[in-house]
Amino acid sequence: MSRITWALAAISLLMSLNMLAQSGQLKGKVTAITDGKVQELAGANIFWKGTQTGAVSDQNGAFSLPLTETVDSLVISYVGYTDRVLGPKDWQVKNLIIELQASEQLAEVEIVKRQKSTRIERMSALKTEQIVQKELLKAACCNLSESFETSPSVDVSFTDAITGTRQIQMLGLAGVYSQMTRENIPAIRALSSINGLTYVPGTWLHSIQLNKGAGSVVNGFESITGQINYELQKPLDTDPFFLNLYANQGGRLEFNAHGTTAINDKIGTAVLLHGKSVQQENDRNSDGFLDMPTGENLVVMNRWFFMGRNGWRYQAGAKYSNIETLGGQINRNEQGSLWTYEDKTDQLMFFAKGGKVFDLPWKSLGIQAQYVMQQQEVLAGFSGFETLNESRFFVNGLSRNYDASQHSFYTNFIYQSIIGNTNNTFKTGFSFQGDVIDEKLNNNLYQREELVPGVFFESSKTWSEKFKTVAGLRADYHSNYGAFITPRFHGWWAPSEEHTLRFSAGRGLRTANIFAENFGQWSSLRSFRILGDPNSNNPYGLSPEIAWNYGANYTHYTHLWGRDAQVALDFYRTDFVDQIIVDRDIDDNSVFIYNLTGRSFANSVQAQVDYELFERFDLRLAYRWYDVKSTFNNSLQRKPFLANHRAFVNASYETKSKWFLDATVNWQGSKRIPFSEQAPSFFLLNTQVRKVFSEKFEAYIGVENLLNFTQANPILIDDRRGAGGAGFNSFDAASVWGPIFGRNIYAGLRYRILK
Amino acid sequence: MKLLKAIFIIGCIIFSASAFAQEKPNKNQESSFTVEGVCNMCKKRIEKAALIPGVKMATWDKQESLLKVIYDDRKIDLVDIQKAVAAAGHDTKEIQACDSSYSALPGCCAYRGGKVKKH
Repeated sequence: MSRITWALAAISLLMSLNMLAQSGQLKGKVTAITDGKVQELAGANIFWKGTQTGAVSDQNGAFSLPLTETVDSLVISYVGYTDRVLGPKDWQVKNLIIELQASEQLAEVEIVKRQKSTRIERMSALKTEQIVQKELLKAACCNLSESFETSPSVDVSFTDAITGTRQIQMLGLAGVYSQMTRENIPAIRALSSINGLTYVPGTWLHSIQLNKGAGSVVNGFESITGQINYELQKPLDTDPFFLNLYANQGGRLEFNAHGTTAINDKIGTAVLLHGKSVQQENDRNSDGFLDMPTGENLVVMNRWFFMGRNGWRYQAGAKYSNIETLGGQINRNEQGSLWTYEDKTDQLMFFAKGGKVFDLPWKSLGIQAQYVMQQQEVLAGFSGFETLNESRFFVNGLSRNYDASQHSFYTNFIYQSIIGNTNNTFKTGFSFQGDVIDEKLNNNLYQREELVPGVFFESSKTWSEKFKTVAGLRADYHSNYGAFITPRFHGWWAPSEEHTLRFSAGRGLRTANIFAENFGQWSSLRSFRILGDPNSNNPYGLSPEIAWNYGANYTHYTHLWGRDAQVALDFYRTDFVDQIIVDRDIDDNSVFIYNLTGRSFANSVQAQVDYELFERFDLRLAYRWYDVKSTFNNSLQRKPFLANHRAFVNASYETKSKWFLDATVNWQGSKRIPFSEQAPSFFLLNTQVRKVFSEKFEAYIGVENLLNFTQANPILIDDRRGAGGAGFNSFDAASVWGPIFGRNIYAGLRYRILK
Repeated sequence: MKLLKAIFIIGCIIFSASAFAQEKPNKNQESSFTVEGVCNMCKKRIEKAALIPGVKMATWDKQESLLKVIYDDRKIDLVDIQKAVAAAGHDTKEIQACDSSYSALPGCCAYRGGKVKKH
């Protein structure tokens, strides 16, 4: 025989041995001692640990199951008996007899599982972070924008000293690019797209759903970087009475209350109240300007719930907001008038909803309508100026007298059902959005009437246990921009219970509100130059903002040392087809506002780990990297006032005696500032201690910015010359990159009457 | 006599009409039947198997071993669903899974014989 033949024979022998090993069977018997006698157990489950290979014992307790090479722990289980796990030494014996011990009487198992304050829904095709009340309690204060301080996905920017408005950012882009919805009705948009967050008191919030990247087409075409939906306290759902009082070192006093009552078993109503007052004039850095504006807020809401017949449910409500803010100079300059910022806003909102739930669980229809009326007066500059004969495309830097009104109407109809079976659902319907906005700025009137009817269809398909898609398309007709389509796509792939991968892509379109979104820029002597087309009928003579957003994210659910851990990685890219650029890089005395002429994009990468380090101690670590660039002054440059690197640590501990300790550290990298040096990196530390005395009463005390880091010279004043009657020739409070006020201690209490 | 006859005829019509109404196939017939199984893997398999063309929704309750279905009675019968579930290896109220499909189940899903622990 040749060598080759020998080799072949050897190989075939090895192979057959291998086959034999694989086809080997493990045989044995399961027994138990009952009433002192050994009995065979029929129907016991025997399987290789962690696999699906197993067997059931027959009437004589005998079983046989295929041997496996990868696993060496054998599990034997039977109801009423303690599970046994055998290692190789135990089962590699002749006449394997496994004796099970009767388990102790089933003790009542106390399931100790604390509710997570933020979680990512595993099965949903859209990555949605659920932020529930427990998380909201960690935030120092007090309105929607401030509620994100413990969520790494949303950045809360620093207020300028003048307007006091806190803006949010998602994926490195301004909050206006994320669509805000209140119970799935678009809210906080148009003129209130920045200030509107302030009109949503934190204690009114029931929960927040945060969805990064392309959203659903059902709620409209405006979302670009994500959707933030917030649910308010609902009639019959919330406590009969809730009260919150809050005060801080800066003189901010807040009063929040809500209550609900059932008129009968079909009608319920809730009243929500919010009052805020800052009377104290703070000027810690003695620059003659208030560090934060004074003012008063009053927000009232009344909402109703009606249970109708045939599965119909109705809701209706009204909300009134009144905001008065006063900021600017406090020391009367001997030479002239004061630089002041004054904002008076009244907003009235009505909404109504009707929904029908059919007997078939997959079928429903809903109709909703909302009307918002807003009146806003802003004065930013030296008082006593009257500007005449200013061009529509120029706003001087000394005085802006702004008077705006907005009437917005929104309605949509949604029908939801299935095609074939529940693995294939769809939502379809139509919507109408109308905005009639008049803005008078100095001697010019900017009018616009945007009417947008649209239709949408969204199909959700479960292809298998592991793969799902949501594909949506909407077609809208805009009275200025014409017809356009908005496609959005989401994919969900979960190769196992522990790993979830999602993809999304979608398009969004919105009209920029160039004044209302840039009130902060008015706190300087920079003039506005709008490079709009005088012959265009578009708002401000500018084209709408259009962008595509693509993203992928990965969530890993795992156990580390016996405790749940969640690891989330995401990447998103926003590519602007058109954008309204607010450019301060052309010259330092002007803000140029124009349509994008080159490229503009935003890349965002985030890594986040949520882990319970030990019992009742939760840790959240996050790191974020941004690469956000736009064409400023004809060259592609980093977006100013944005840190490329950010890190975030949140630790919270709850004791058995109901003390809640919470600390958040934020690190922000350096930022580009036009015509100035880079802003340095810095740390921010916020802490809070909360004690729950009873279900009814709790109190909290905390410190914002414990390390007392502040931006040096947040208001740059050059008063060497004293130009005109102004007292200074250069003034800039619109270059804020860090906190202004420094350490701020606050305290508050919450009282509720339980159901 | 004529009156009696008329009442009898009308009665017959009403009766047959109502009988007819009862037998009229329903587009969205709701029904449920017992399906044996033990774990969440079983749940996925049962629900997937039950979604044959004509079945719109299938939800299996592990604790109750009960499969709830909504199906188009004009196209299929309840027993068709049971056959499909049995073919996947799970005994239903009327149809028993054949041994070959039962033995194809992973070990942890074995539900036959004695008291089986749901897990």
